[in-house]
Amino acid sequence: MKISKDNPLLTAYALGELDAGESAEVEAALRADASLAAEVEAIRAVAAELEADLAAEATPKLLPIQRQRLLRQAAQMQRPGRTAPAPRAAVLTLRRRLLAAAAALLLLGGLAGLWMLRGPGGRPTDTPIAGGAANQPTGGGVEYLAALSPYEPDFASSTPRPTEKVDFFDLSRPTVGSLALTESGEAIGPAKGADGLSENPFRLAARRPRSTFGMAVDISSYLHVQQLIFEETRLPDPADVRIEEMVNYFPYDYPGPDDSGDALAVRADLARCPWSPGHVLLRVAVRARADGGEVVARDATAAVEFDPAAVASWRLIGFDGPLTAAGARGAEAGPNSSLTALYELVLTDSAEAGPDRPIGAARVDYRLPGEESVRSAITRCGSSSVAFEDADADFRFAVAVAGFGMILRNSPHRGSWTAADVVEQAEAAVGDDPLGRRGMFISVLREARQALLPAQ
Amino acid sequence: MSGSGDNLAAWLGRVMDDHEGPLLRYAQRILGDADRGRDVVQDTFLRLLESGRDLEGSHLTQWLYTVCRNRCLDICRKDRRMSLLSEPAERMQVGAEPSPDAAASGREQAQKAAAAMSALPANQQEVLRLRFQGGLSYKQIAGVTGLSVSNVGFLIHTAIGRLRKRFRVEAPGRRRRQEP
Repeated sequence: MKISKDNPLLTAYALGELDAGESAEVEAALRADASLAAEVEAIRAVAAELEADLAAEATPKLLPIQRQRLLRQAAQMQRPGRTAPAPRAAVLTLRRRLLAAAAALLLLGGLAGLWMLRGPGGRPTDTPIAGGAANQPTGGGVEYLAALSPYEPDFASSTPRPTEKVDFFDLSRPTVGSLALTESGEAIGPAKGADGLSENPFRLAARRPRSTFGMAVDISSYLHVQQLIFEETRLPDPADVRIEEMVNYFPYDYPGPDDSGDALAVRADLARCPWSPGHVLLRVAVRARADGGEVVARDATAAVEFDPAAVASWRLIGFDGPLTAAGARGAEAGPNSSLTALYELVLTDSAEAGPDRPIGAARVDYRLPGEESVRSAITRCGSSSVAFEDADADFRFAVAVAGFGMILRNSPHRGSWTAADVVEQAEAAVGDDPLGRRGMFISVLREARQALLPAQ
Repeated sequence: MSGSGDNLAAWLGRVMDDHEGPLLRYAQRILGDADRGRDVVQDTFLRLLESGRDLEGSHLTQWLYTVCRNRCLDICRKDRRMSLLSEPAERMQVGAEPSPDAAASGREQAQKAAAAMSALPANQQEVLRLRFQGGLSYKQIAGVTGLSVSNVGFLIHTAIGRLRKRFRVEAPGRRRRQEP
């Protein structure tokens, strides 16, 4: 095997991260090329230097009172008759699940890389620094457990509120596509999940051509979902799953504004819907200019207008519940921030069959900081859609996340999609993943699929 | 739990002895705040107790770093404006404050490394610290950060390459160390 000097394998070899077989291959290459061997030595020298330098950093300690509280908590959990953290059976289940998760991680790593799992290796233990107790707080009257985590996200404010009731059994309604609709354009049928959780229904474009969504999107719902599944091995309450927060947790590589005078750019694309044949998905993507101060745009509001001649009905995915007053007032956009909204559409027959024509437009209104006049970013969307597999990776990844959210919410709109489909699509759409969030999402997905979701 | 099962506190004590310092360094580095770092690490150990996880060795290390990291990132997000269009960029705050506990020579040494590292992108700094300060393997780092193993390998390779150039430029004579 020929190895170039900038091959990461050399570093992995120098650091002892390769298994015997891989090491042997690298060693053969080193024997054939003395400059490679010198390269390995140079890498080791820098690594040793760095390790020594970092080891010289101070080793902090918990405050003695914190340590005591933890030990006391452990002792209390031990005592018979106290409430244990989890009954024995649950502990066993957790352990089994953890093994499954570890296996999944191994598999993932095996697919993605060449290196095998290694033990932690012998590291020098950190020596305690004397005098760490100097700033021990005095009179800490509040028991730690009373305020478990001051940083716990507040989900109460983001719980979806029910939308208006729809009559499930009224069959005397017109139908469009696969859906029955009321005269006011609301969908009959799949508006509520099995547990009564309401979702934005399909709406008839002829009666409701305009859609708005709030641009101030929190991301705490995704963090909650990830924490529960990955750290606590349990599924979130469907009401705590907010699809738009999950989708917008991930970074997407949307182009920013061309004109330096604009702060926001918007684009709209169609792809065929992977869970409902005959439907299409519309992605509306907003990207803020990168440079600028804390805020590059304020009072930003978004609207999508559908042409009823081309769109029979539409459904906003996520963003459930009424727009709050604050949301209606508009959001601030930080530099380089982005926002993704997904719609599921049923096109009219003429739009499906005919040449490309506009099906509608997406528009974002905003003000520049310090300006009163309103600016707009507008894009039109044509009717031609690509196959889902041909959509760009960002689009597919966002849809996979939304699909997972629909599964977690027991959404009636999830159609034919299973957790296996979500895993497959997400894995195929990871792309560059500069923050590692997409890779982590796949670990979460796999954990959910193997340990938590019923087999399909 | 691990071991005989009749002494959870002793087991926790051992886990804390092994992991408290490295986890604190990691958390404080992300948060740039010693107090919050301690809160996060305390919370991490408490979660370990509550989870009822029966973990040891490399799995335990990986679990602790994963939970610790997620708690840190929660706090980073809470600190910033939670609103708005989502802000995807995760900036690791690389705390400049040296610890008062460090001996003067050690401090100088550490500051040189920290200074050289601070020119690197945040994700490279993080994997370097996990590998060379936390003692995690590529595989474990991948588990903690959600990166692929090959991604971790690439980041570490790139970071070391850049540090080499920097070390050469900055201090051609310095890179000789007296054995203790």
